[in-house]
Amino acid sequence: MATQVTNYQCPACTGPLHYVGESGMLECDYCGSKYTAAEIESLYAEKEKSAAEAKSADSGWGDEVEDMRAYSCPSCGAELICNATTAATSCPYCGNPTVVPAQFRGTLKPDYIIPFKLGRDAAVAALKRHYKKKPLLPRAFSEQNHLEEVQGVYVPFWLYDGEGDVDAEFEATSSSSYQEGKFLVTETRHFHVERSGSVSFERVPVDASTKMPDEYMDSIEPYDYDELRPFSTAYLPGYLADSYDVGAEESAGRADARCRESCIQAISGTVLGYDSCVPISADVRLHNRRVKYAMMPVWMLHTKWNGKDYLFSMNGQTGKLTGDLPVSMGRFWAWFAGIFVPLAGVMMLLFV
Amino acid sequence: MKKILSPVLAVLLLIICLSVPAFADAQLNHVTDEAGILYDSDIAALEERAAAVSEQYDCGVYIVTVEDFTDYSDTYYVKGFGEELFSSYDLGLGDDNCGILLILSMAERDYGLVAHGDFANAAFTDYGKDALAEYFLDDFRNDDWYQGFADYIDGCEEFMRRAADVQPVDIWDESPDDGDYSDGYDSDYDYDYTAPGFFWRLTHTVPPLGWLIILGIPALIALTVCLCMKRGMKTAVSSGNANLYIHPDGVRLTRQNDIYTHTTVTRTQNVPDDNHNNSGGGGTTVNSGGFSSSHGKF
Repeated sequence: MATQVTNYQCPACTGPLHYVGESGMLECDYCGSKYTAAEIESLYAEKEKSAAEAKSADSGWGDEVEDMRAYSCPSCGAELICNATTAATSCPYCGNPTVVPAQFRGTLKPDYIIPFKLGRDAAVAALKRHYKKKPLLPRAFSEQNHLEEVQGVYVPFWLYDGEGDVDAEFEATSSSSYQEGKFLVTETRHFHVERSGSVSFERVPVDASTKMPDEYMDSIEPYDYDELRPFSTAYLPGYLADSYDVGAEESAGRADARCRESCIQAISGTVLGYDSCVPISADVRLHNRRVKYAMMPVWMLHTKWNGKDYLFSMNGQTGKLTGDLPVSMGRFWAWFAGIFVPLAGVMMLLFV
Repeated sequence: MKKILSPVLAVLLLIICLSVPAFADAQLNHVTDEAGILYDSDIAALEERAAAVSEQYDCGVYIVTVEDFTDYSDTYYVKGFGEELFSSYDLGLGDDNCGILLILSMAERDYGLVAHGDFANAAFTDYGKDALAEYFLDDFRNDDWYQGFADYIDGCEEFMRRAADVQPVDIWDESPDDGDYSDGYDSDYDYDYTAPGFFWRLTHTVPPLGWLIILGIPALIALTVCLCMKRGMKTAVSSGNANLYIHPDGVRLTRQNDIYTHTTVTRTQNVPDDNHNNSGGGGTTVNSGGFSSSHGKF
């Protein structure tokens, strides 16, 4: 079944439009015209409506491809086969950026989006800097990487608001010392400390895509929420996008665990004036949970080296980058020797 | 008032008298034989030789023999008694009472070597005192007292000559190229002293613990740096908390209660560092009284 997809075309010349993070506008590659997201949205509102009605019949591929979707490229007519959650991609034949409006209707529609602020060049430059600062990185790894293949992806996130009520008990001590003849006398006063309070959280992010490793998404936090905008598909052209495939209830466990830990830390921080403070017990009750759906900008590069997968992700708004790198054991031991030998030499001179 | 002062003065005088070893002479010569193991002629010869060496280097060379040093002192070791003698009889030459004293206690066949003053402490290092003892111990073990003392004075002269040449006898003298002191001292031998090389000293003078430190600390530092760099290759980690997302006024304390329960008291005794032993390296260990010393049996 070929489903309707949209690529935003320039109203002036019908060339493809891309969202450019640096200018915050949709720009035409051919005539250079620029449009705001609101202008293009209103222009295409009617087109999307008619596109949704133009769903065609069964693709005839059977149940084994139930996770796949087929769309017709509005530029060249080619049939695009995508993952069921793909929301924005590009046509492999004509290269035009394509949006799947059906992925953003009803409960699948995000509330917010943070548009890309950093472009591809910034992402490539950041990756190069990331490699340069790593003396244990095998030289061949950085040489064989295809940095230009870095892709901009809008990743679905759940943003949780909520409150936590905490009752905690601590064992705290306060010590003082003084000299008494030949003895150093240390007096330690022990206290049983009780604290109760509440902690409010705003927009705790949890990624809602199984394709994105949680630790990679956690590591590029935080996003600047001052730049959150109401969602519009007009921000998507030029980037990949997925709709969520992990529900808000399913993701809530991760948010709760993070909030629970922060509640304990925040209440512990109110125990002041002691030399030591050890938690004895803590009871945290989370409530008033509210959730919003948002799309966050991430630059991603997936690469293989020596049969292993390596993934890099960069916050498309702040530039914060994370990614595990391979270690050259040859370089590891060379560095070890480079530090050990001169130090041992100095120690010998000191001893003899 | 006099009734109160008289007993106090008496006690003070007693303490002073007891703290000074009671020898027959008010002032000690270079050779004092309280144990009576030397002939008068031997004493005279040794006295003359010791005085000459002392004058040459402006550093007193002394010999004292006693039957049992515990009759004179409460110290545990004979070297402690030697330090008391040195102080009590104002031994040594020059402003800093420079000198070296060999003391023999015959009852338990103890000997002690005590040096005082900058030059003496430089000339008779910790290693040097042990080397000097080798000069006379073989004679004393054969009850050849005169020869032992004569060798001691000759050794002192040689050690002070080395110190005057800024080449004091120290750990590097273990070098086989420089002769073996245990073979005895040849006073006619003209030392052509050459400091042993770096690698010889490294392989012969560094104790096992020293090697552990020389190799262990750099290895530990290098490994720590490399593991930190390796850790830096893995930057993707799960976030365990939501501290960044706490509302600016989001922490509200509704109840706080601090209850004092009890007090514990610990007492730790301050232990002074009495270890004046040779640490294994070169140089001289000098105590707070300005003495360096060694002791043993003969």
